[in-house]
Amino acid sequence: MTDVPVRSLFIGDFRTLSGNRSLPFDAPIVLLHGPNGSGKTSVLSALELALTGEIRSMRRQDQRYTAHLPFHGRDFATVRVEVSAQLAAREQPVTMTVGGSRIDGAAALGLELAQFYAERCYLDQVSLGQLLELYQYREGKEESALARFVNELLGLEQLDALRSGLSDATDFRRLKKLSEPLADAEAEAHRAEADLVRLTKELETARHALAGSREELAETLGSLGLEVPEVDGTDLGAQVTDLLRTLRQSGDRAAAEDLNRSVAVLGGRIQALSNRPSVRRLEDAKAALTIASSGVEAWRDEYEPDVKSWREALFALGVRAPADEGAALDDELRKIDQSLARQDEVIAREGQLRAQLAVREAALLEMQSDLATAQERVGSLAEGLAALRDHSSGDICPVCDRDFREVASIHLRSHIDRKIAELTNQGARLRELREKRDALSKEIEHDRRVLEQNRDQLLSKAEREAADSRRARLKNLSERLGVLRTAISAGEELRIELRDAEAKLAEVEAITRDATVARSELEALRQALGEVPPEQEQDLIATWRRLSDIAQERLDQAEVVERAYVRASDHLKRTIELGLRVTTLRDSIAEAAERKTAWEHRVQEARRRQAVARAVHDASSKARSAIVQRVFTESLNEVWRSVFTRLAPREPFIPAFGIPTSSKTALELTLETVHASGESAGPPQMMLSAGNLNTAALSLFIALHLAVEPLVPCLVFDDPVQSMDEVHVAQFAGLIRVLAKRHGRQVIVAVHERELFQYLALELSPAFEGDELITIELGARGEEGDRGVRRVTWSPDPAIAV
Amino acid sequence: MTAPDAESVLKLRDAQHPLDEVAELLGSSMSNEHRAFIDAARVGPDEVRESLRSFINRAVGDAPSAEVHS
Repeated sequence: MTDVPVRSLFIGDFRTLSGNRSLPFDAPIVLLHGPNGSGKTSVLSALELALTGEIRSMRRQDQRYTAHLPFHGRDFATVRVEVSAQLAAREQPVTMTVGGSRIDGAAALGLELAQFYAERCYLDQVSLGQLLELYQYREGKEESALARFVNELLGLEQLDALRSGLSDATDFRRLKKLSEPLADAEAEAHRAEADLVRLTKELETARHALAGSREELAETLGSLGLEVPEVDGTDLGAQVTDLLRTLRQSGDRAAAEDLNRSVAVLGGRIQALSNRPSVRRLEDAKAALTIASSGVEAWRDEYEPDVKSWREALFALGVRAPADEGAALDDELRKIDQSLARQDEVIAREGQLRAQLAVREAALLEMQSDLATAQERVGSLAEGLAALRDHSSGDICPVCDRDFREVASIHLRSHIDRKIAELTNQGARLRELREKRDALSKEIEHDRRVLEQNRDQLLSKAEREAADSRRARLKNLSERLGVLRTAISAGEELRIELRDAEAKLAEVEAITRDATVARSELEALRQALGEVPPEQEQDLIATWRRLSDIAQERLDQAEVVERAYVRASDHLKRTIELGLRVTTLRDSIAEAAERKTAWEHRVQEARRRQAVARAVHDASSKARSAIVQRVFTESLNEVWRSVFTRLAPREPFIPAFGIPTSSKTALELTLETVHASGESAGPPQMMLSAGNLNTAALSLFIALHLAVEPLVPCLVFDDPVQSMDEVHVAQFAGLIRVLAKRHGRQVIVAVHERELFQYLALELSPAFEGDELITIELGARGEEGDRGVRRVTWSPDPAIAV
Repeated sequence: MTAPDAESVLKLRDAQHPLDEVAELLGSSMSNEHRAFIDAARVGPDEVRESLRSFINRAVGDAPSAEVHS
């Protein structure tokens, strides 16, 4: 038979199997037998390793299980499997070497087929007892193996992808988190709405303010006698501005101020005129001037010749004093008197100096004579004594040869020395005398200089006569002044009166002129103010006051107009601004409304699309529920039930999948039992015996295998009928036959009980031509010539043939 | 001795694809927009989520009138 998945297995020093061994597997059913420890599990483990590249049950126990795979004392083990050409990953079988932490060589099956074999084809002895737990075991949030299988089986993966991927569509807030533009769009829509509300309020406020401003403008214009034109915006501004400009010209405040200022200035001048002499005193001034002129003329006739003569004489004497001629004359007279007195004093001092000089010159002559005599005498004597002393020896006088001791008690030489000393003292007095003579000579010299100086001050005779003559004439003029002084004073007073009269007349005439000018200016102001002239002539003050009142009134009116103009301009400006504000706000509102509509439309479109996605999501949820319900109730449970009830027909509690009711993405599967009456019961682990629990696991494994596409069409069981009673075993044998014959599966079964092996070998013997069974016995039987391998083929029954 | 019900096994294998059931449930209301999500589900949840994101982004990013509602 060549179309079975597994054809042969080569094993070298693998676990409990020493040496090399080749085992044929090319039959629909292969029975493997051996007592405990003979290597049955080792053979199936070697098969798993050669097919998939690993041994799952061992890996669950120890990640470094490869170190334990070589036979005891060997460094490595080797395995090689030959599979059908449809399943082989490569053309030729590859020997796999394993030892330590390494596995060298490639598995016979590809990754997908290897996984299928490990999960759906091979039920090892260890996993059988734990299968239900293993299937339901979940680590963290991962799905259980059973749930994963069911998901794959049902194709829920894509359905759940649809539900999971569209889950954000079930809630708009989640959808906004998914789509940032959507969140932005909704925010923009809200912002536009908020802007719209705010702008609408602002427009309402601006409109209210505009109405109020127009009322104030109307009121202000009304106070100016104007009306607000029935126009808006720019036209209103232009028209009201024209009105105000016209109004302002008519009440020009600047012109009124100028007029008022001119009136005020003129008023000051008129007020000053009123404080000056009256115009009416002009005649009085003229009369006073005439009187003063007459007085001056009379004085001139009587006194002027004498006064003039006296002044000419005074002038001739060089006296220049136009202010006070009398004082100047007195001063001149006093000066010449003082000069003459000083001449007298100089003359007197001349005499005194001459006498003093004569006395001193006489004394000097006498002193010089004495000094010459003494000088001569002292000098010759001292010189003689000095010469004599040199010639003296002892007390004998060199002059008279007499013994000096006779007349004196001292020695001669001592006597001479004393005399010389006395003469020397007289020399000192002589020096003192000379000093006195020198001092006297200096005094005499001084006296001579003083005398010379005094002599310089003396006037000559002619000068003295001239001075005496000048004094006589001055004295004469002084005496004439005594006579003329009264007349001169009277003349001065008369001239002063004349000047005063002339000044007064000039002032009165100036006042008259100023008054004339002021009146003409008042007339000009009257005309400027547009006033009619008074019927009667008024004085300057009255006229000015009347015009001043009028000018002030005009100014007040102009100021009223000006203030109203300013107010009206302000109101107009504010009205125009508010009008513009209203227009701007209207535009902004239109823009905000347009923006709001646009964004809301987009958000609305997004909501429509959300509805589309949600419809798909809801449909996928419904489909999922329907599929789960249908598959579990109508398919999986039915297959499992079919297999289990055939293996354990008398068991009232039938294992089944608990039908998931949750619509959550993760499929939560539970195992339960259903009583023959149809009522749900507890989980299999609680409701079934150990044997039937194994049966439940075995039947579940077979059911799951049958439920999927048989990528690797074989089933491998390691001692699957432990704790089974005879009925179960018989049913199991029948099930193997059905699986092999009807479902085309290669079935490899390892058992350790000899009787069971013999029963199965008999029960599964080929029953038709072409059918085959391979039995492999390990242990002592495996050491025999056929190595314990027996290939059983169909042969016709002779009894039947007969 | 009888085998497991072959018909049941076939039901499992030959059942209608779940995504087709979704389309069937949507019925006549299904449009190209619905179908795009179903097609994306064959790739995976991330593809579906990205399709949804793109679908919504286009709704708010483009002019609504430019979209075709089939």
